[in-house]
Amino acid sequence: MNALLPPLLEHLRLSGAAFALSVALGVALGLTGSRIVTQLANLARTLPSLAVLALALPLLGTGFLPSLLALTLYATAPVLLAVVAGLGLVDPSLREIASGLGMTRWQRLRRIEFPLGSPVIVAGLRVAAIEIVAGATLATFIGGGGLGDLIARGLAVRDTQQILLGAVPVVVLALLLEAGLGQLERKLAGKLSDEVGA
Amino acid sequence: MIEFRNITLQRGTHRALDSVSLTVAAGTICALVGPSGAGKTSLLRLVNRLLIPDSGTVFVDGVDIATIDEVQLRRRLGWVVQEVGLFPHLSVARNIAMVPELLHWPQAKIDARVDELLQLVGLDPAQMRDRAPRNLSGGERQRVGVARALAADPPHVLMDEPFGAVDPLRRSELQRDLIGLLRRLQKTVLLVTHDIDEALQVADRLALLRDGSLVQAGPPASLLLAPSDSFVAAFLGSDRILKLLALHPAQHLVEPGRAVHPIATDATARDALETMLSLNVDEVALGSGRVTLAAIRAVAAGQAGG
Repeated sequence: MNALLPPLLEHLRLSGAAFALSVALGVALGLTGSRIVTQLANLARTLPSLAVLALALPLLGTGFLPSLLALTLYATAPVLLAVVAGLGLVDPSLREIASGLGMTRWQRLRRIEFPLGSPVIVAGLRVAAIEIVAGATLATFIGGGGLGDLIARGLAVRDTQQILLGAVPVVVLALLLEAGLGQLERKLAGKLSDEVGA
Repeated sequence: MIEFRNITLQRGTHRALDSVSLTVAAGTICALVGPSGAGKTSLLRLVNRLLIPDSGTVFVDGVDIATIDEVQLRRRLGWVVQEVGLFPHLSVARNIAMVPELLHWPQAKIDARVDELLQLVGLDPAQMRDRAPRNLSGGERQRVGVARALAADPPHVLMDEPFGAVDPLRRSELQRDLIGLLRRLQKTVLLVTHDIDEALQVADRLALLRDGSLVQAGPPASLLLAPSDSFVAAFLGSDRILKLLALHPAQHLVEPGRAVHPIATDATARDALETMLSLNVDEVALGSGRVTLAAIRAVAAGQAGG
């Protein structure tokens, strides 16, 4: 347990920070609704995470911060695309009515557009979270630490037990995120299409 | 009061509105009628600045709306549209509470206002408050839509085809209830409709638009009696004299004397004529007096007051 806890906490710290930053960045960029930003995000989606980390290495050096930055950049794309897609699904006439009732742009986003787009947006958050947790395993290659350290060390000395000690928690984390956010997503979608009522 | 002064609105190469001037007096109901594409909805949307005119000015209560904050403007204008208008993720109560919430009313005041409004529009608060919009009938949705528009007690109400999505059977009941309510509350109402019968029934004044121009405006009776051209006459329908009679209460035509066949006290001149024709008589009894065919002829010729 002592071998697991520090890397696990480091993994969670890195993932949590990257998730928070990518959500903030993804939402902010998504709200611009700019086509160029969307196209860049689509392009970014095609890059493998290892490549992003490898690119970060010469530019940013090694350690926690470069890993955080690389993961953030990597996970911003799915958040951004989900925000654009989710807001795009909102019936334009509802948007117009919201304005007609005297809502400012921010009030309209908060009260109408985000809630109505929330199932799609949460789906994007789920993808981002899982990619971060999985991708953070690779941070070890640029000295970012985390559970990847255990896996890399295990690989180096061909110690299966050590590999599993790192790999199993990553899988469990990913499954938990999938289940938790997936359920939230279904709940939100259900709330919007529930025939029996709210 | 809502006033359009010399409004021109260009949409692409198409002139959606062409030097339209129109005044809706405070506390009156004005119906914008005309074929689709005539510019009715565009005119309505100029009032809450969802559209901006290329030239001309819109005044609300004497103030040029281009000079005031659009959010403040919109909160003084109730806004009712076809049934798509309710927010599907919010309960009936939260839909109605939307503008009061934006205005940061205390929650207790909002709750009381929601219940009051539900009652005003003829819905049971206990039963309706927590329902989702999708579980309402078309008529109920429209009632909630009006309740939402009235939530912060705006002096003016803009309505865009408010009864368009309601089945014809419920429609007249809904018109009577909701328009009656707006009249009681002395709101200034601008109503877009393509249904000339609806307009004749509910409005104090009609404004008939065609291809972006105002063709004729006036009280229903004056349009029916004296359509300004063949387009107006055709739009009003070939039975416009009967429509005119239908607007005229038979009560107003009662003169002293006795007749054999009684009609209801709330009958219209049209009902009276119908009875006369079906019974082949020249007069019918109403209350202690009578209504004669001659009196009805006078209405049709535009010679009767009332």
